[in-house]
Amino acid sequence: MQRLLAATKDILDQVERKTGKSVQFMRDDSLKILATLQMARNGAEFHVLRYQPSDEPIDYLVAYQAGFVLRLFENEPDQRFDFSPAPSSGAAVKDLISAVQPLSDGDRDRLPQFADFVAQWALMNLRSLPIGMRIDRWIAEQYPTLAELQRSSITFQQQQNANILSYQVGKLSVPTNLMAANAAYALFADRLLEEDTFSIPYRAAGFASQGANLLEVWDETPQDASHDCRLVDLWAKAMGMKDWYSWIPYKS
Amino acid sequence: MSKKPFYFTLPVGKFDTNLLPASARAIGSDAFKDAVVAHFVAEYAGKGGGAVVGVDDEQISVLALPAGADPLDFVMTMLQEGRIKEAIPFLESMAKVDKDNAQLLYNLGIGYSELGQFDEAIIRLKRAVSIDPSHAHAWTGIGVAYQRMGKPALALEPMQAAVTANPRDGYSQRNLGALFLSLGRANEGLAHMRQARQALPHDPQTTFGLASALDELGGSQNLAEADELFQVIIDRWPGSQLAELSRTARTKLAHSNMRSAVDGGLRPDVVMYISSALDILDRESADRGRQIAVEIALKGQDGLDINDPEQKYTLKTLPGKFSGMHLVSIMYAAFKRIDPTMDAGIDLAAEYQAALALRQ
Repeated sequence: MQRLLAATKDILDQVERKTGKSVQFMRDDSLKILATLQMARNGAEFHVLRYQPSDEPIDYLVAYQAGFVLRLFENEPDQRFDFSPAPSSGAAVKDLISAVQPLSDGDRDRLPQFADFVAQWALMNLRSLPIGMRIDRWIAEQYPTLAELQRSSITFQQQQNANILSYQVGKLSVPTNLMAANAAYALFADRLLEEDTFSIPYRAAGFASQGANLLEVWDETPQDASHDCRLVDLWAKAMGMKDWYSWIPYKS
Repeated sequence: MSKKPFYFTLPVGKFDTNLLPASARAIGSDAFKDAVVAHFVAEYAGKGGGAVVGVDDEQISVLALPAGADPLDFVMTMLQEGRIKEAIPFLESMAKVDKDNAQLLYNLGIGYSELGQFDEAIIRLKRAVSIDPSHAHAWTGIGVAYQRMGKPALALEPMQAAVTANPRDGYSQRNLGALFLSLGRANEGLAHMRQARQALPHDPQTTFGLASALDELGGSQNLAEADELFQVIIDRWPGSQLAELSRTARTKLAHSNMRSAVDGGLRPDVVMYISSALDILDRESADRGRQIAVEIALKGQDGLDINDPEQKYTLKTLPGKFSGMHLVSIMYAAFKRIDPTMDAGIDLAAEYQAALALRQ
């Protein structure tokens, strides 16, 4: 692994101070996302950050993932919660798609698996995007040395998100309301990076106003970590996902 | 805007037609397609960038680039990465604007050919050579498309036009050589393969093509040269599929040399080698026999010279020095002991039966 920047080390020190445990790094060639952090639980001695091998420094990814740990631990112990997807979320997507799309026999066969995939994807966005945007702003404001890596990583992420716009299995496609989170993130990225181009695809697809509504909710909700669950709940309500998950007390 | 190209596609049905003039909202119409292109071009131009937009009956493809960037660079990367289906709409879009760009039409034609859309490919490639008759690769592309369509006779004329356009182009020479070989005209094939190898001495396919032409023509001098070239491929590109094919070709050559040395009859030396190998295998355990066979097979991957009687090989599993034919005979006997149906890569069945008869 490459050497970490001073800013990243500073963030990792904060994680260790707040949680009492350090972060260990593990390269994972099979990882489908850029990086993920598994918090130390059940007596584990370390948090484990798994990352995809890349030529680019992983500092921003480390900072971003550590940001989630820091925000969780900013809350008092009894106010720390885990996001728990409901098993029924796949069925909810199934209903949503069946209600608006005429289905062929083939599509009907494919629907359960497709719905489960879309539900997982939408829940991951719901859990990570609104809080992740708080973390992105924190990184941009507090750690200017990570700015270029942040720009590069967000651009990459936006490219990946744009691929979902045309994602189809048979004639099945992602319901429009669930695209709002990506649209909000694109609008946010445009604002943060002064780009103004990431949201163009979402405007063309007619999702921009839904994204703008979510971004407005994000702007109006207090920024401190104690409002993170509420922020997620507000986004979920706006996207019709409020019964798709619950908050359960965090156990270390 | 971002310094990196940004690429996305959108099903036509998902485009918000409210963004278009009222007269252009019928999805799929020419007015719709033109208006969508104009929409995205204006959007990105307004942010200081550029966009290449392709619209067909099913989807809209948008490639956004910073000002001054050449979209062809990005699309070429897509082609090189095998993302041909994604690249086609952009090439089509660029070709609409830059109508007389032979290189663009060439890339488009090759893209269609790779996708198996040969009619589309040939139309673009013929247009390319009508603009630039010296475009040897476009001529070859036409020939390749005809070949892939199963019409090799139609491939001949454009492939000959390719080498006329540029006789020094190894790629064109190689393709014409291969075409002649497939048409059973090995002499002509050989001449073009030789010219191809002169131009592309480090290209494994060309080396293999030349070796195959020599092998096809036959004659002791040609076969010896073919054998050398097959060995070159094995040595220089050891893990490649061509190396595997070369090994098979060398085995076949060696086998035919071996048989011709005794006018197609039994090789007494091989009978003796097999007979003594069977004695060894009787003495050793089955595991040991397998180890011996595997060691010889591994050695054989680099090529065993079975036509040279010199005892130049050694084994870790057996003492002494061996000729190539001796090792192959031991391996054959061992394989037959392990599994009589196993293909040892060389036919020594007659010698094996003779050795068994000797031992009775």
